[in-house]
Amino acid sequence: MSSSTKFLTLKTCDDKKFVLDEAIAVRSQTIKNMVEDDCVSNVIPLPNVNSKTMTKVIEYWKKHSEEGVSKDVLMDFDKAFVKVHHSILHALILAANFLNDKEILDMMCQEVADRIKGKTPEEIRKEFDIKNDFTPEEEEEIRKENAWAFE
Amino acid sequence: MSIFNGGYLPQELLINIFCRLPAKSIGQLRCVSNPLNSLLSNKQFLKSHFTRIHFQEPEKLILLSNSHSFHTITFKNNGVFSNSINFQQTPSDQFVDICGSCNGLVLILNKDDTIVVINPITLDFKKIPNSPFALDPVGSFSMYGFGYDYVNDDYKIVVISRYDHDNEYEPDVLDMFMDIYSLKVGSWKRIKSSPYDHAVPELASGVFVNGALHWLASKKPDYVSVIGAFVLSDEEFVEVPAPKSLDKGKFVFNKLVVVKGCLCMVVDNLEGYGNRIDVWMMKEYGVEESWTKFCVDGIDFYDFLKPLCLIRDDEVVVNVDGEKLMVYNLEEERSRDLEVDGILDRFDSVGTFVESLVSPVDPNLFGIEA
Repeated sequence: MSSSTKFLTLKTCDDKKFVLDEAIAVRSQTIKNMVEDDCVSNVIPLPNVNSKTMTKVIEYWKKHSEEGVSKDVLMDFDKAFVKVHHSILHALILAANFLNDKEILDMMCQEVADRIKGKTPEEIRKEFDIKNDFTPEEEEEIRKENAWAFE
Repeated sequence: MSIFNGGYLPQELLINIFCRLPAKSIGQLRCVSNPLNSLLSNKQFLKSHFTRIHFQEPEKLILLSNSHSFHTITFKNNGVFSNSINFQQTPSDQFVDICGSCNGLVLILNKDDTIVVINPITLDFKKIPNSPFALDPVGSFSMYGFGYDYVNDDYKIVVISRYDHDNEYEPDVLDMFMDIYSLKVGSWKRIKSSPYDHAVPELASGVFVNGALHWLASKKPDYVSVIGAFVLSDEEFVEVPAPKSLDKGKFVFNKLVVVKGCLCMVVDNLEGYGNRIDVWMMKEYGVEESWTKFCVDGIDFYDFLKPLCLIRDDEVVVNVDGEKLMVYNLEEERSRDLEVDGILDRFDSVGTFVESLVSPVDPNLFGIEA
């Protein structure tokens, strides 16, 4: 590692600290702006991201910053990366949005969309733990209005 | 905790996710819960979904069989899927023609000349009230067009009609009447007659490209052929330059179509029987030098051969005499039958459309903040 490598310290909402190469951390547009605007003191607070989520994000950033990593390897990595419980997808979407990392945000939103595609309302509720809050009458009505989607 | 409960994800992120879904998934999602239903029914979402889907999804076909039923054909992942759509409001409904489409809405014509605008995906429809200006169909001809007026965020139906000069009804009235129905205003109006002669051997629907409906016509007094573009915002005709090499005296006998969003002119060079057409494509709208030509060669036709849409960069679906659909590979210069399960032997009319959630009853989305 060259002597010019700069490190940043990120602090998540649960007070965990992550020390990271600045060149990797600036994959986050939010952090990049802070660095460019010289707003970086010792520690960058990330009030909207917890350590569990940040660990995932950093895992992604590091893999995608590896030198000479092949496209196939990255594709396999991404495939495995999105195979997580929907609550983690949720947290990653919020984190990617806060960090302004379009690549992760795009990938996660697409994963949620892919999990919805081709599923019935019952299957979607089950997949995402959604409560059916329709009254039976409301549900009948709404099913009638959207009957075209069930053919 | 769930992604979609209690507004836990900001609305912009939910919209980002849901805009990636086809219309049918949206219909199913609406049936999941109240908050999802209200989010996915509001206009802001519909607008975002429209702008995204519009550029993502390949065009589909809508066919009208000669038993008056509709089918849609979807091209996806190298497969072809057909779906019959159950759309008949009353037993007396007998749809006879598909006259154009725009933003996922399709204009269809009933036997009694009543017009219906339908979204073939959501099956939402709007019956258009009969025009008070309509000529008696006995002894007159009408051509229809349907498109979107970007300036006024309005969908407009245009009818050009004229008396049959060869009959005894109104032999001296040479006017090409122009009537417009605005979906936004909800009424018909008659504007000044078209400056062109629209007496063509075959009635043609207006071809919608770039905010204008296009017809081939003749310009009086010398009857030179022109491409007349009826601009929906100004409600006036302008002329679009034709390919330079075409005979200005008779290209009115060609046909206009739209492929890949570009205005195209189909030249069959023959009267009856043939196996080759030239398709001129105006790659950059309004630019004379941008007309480029490709050929569809080796498909026998009797009456006409018309390109409908591209399914890959090098494959074009063609309508052969209104009897069958074929796929022509431009690279290999070879054709094959379009194989679809449940395909109809014959059809009365066929058109293209894009999948959208736009409702013909309340189609205006432009004024909505994205």
